[in-house]
Amino acid sequence: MASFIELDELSVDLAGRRILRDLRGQYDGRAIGLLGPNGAGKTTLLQTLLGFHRPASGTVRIFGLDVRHDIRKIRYLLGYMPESDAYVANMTAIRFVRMMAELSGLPRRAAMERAHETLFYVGLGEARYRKLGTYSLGMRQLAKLAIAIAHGPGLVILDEPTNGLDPPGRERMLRLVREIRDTGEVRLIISSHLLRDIEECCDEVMILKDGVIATYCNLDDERRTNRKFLHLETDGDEVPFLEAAVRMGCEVAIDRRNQRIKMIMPESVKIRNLYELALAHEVEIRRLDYKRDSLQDIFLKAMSPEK
Amino acid sequence: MAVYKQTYKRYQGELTGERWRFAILARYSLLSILDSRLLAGFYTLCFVPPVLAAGLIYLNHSTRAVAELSGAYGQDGVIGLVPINNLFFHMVFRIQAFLAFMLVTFVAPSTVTSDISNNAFPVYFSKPISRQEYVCGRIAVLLALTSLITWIPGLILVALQADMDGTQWLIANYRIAIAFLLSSWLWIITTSLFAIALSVWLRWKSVATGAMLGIFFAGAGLGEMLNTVLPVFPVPVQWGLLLNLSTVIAMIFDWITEGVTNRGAVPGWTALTVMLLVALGSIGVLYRRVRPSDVVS
Repeated sequence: MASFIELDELSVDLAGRRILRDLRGQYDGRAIGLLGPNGAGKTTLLQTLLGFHRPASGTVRIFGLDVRHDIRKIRYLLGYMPESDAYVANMTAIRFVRMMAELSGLPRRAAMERAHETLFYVGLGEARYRKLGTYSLGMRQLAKLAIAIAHGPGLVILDEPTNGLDPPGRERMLRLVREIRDTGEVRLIISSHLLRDIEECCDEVMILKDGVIATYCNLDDERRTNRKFLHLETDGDEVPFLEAAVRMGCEVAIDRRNQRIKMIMPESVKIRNLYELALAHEVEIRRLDYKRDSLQDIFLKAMSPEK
Repeated sequence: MAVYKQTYKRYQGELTGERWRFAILARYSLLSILDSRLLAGFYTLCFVPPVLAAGLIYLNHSTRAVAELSGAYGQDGVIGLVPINNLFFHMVFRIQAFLAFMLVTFVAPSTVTSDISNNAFPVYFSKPISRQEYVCGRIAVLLALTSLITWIPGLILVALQADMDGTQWLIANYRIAIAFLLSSWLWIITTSLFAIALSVWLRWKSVATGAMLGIFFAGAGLGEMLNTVLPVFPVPVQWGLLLNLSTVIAMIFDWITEGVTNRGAVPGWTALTVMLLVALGSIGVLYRRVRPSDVVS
């Protein structure tokens, strides 16, 4: 797929302060997670994509359209779910979602149909004639999602979608986001403080720090790589087993203090091969770990002072 | 995307044109306004004075023949009835302008503050709609509602009078029609802009409504105080009248009709300048305040 976001030396100033500095790159993930500490520039970047802030220098292109000159065309293709509450309290959900769909260019009838369908889709079908002011926080989050997707955009920007949700609400929101992603009809950019949310919904991650991109990576690739770093605990004579492993191309180090073996496997070796090797050398593998918290490691690494 | 399928699907159908996109906001505002029975009731009452005025015009002419025969017809029309002249239309204009002001005062804050108090601007402006279109959409509904009670009935009354009194009357009083049209537009645009700007600035519906009423009535009182304080030499000009918006628009009406001239010797162009300054100030506030996101310095 062609890159749908291109950043070209993008810098953004707000209130006389440089918030984003010289961002560049082409991004084409189905779902890009945006991470970073408070003040890193996540929301500013999202709002620049929406055309709320003009770049001080450089450009942003979304689906090949320049944010500076083609923002109106871009907004037809965008859906936005802001971080904070954004609704009209005395309007019913159906009327508000329909109005937003009409503002996105849908004819009245189509807007009405899609408003109903979208509210059912996010789980607010039964409450769609209630005023938004009477909704709970979780319902308002879902209503914001409905507003973001009612006009069927090609790119949906979600700013802290699970903000303030209880665990069942969070699960429901993440399930919806994954479902939307898996249709393959839409690209997602999700900003969140919660690494698990990003890990569950995104395939690529951009980490911002002090207004610059500290890291950009593909999570699947990272997971695949991390799966090759193993921690083993064995029972039996481990020396022949380890020698055989080295002959297969593995790198091995023994941690005597913790009674553990650290192993790096080459691409060609599968975990199944290790079990076969252990069986052949009458060694019992009592524990085998590979790093699961890859995103946390990536994030901490990106946030380290040396970076 | 059918309900039973419960999945996300991109919209691939046709899109509406952009020229009248702002009218969507106006339409939804109107729906919200009509939801309020109180406002709908008040709006209905706003049509009563023009209907009464039309009745007076009709009565004046229908009894004219009888009055002429009985000698009850004088220089100002039928003796005992309100004469249909410049002052009659001036009064109709002032009444309708006041009602339009009250309508704007109660309607404008409800259309805007609900967007602001729950931070809906980022959602609006993530759609293909500009800040100018947003303001146009909000003002359009006010202009539509107030037009129906100001210049439209005004022109109908002039037409009714011209129809009954003949084209000679229209030729002699064509300025009344122009005054109705121009003064009404100036009034409804300025008050709408002012009310929307005040609502955006103050953010709270009741506070904005109170401020509108306060400025209207306090301005009149302050103006009177100023007139008593200001020196009357060398020319007794009552500049304080310029603080009373209701009087200011009446001055403009009179300036165009060349009718009632004794307005504290305040020149008509100064009244026009005041209205334009209020409108420009309101546009300035709207430009600064209607934004998708606040930037904290």
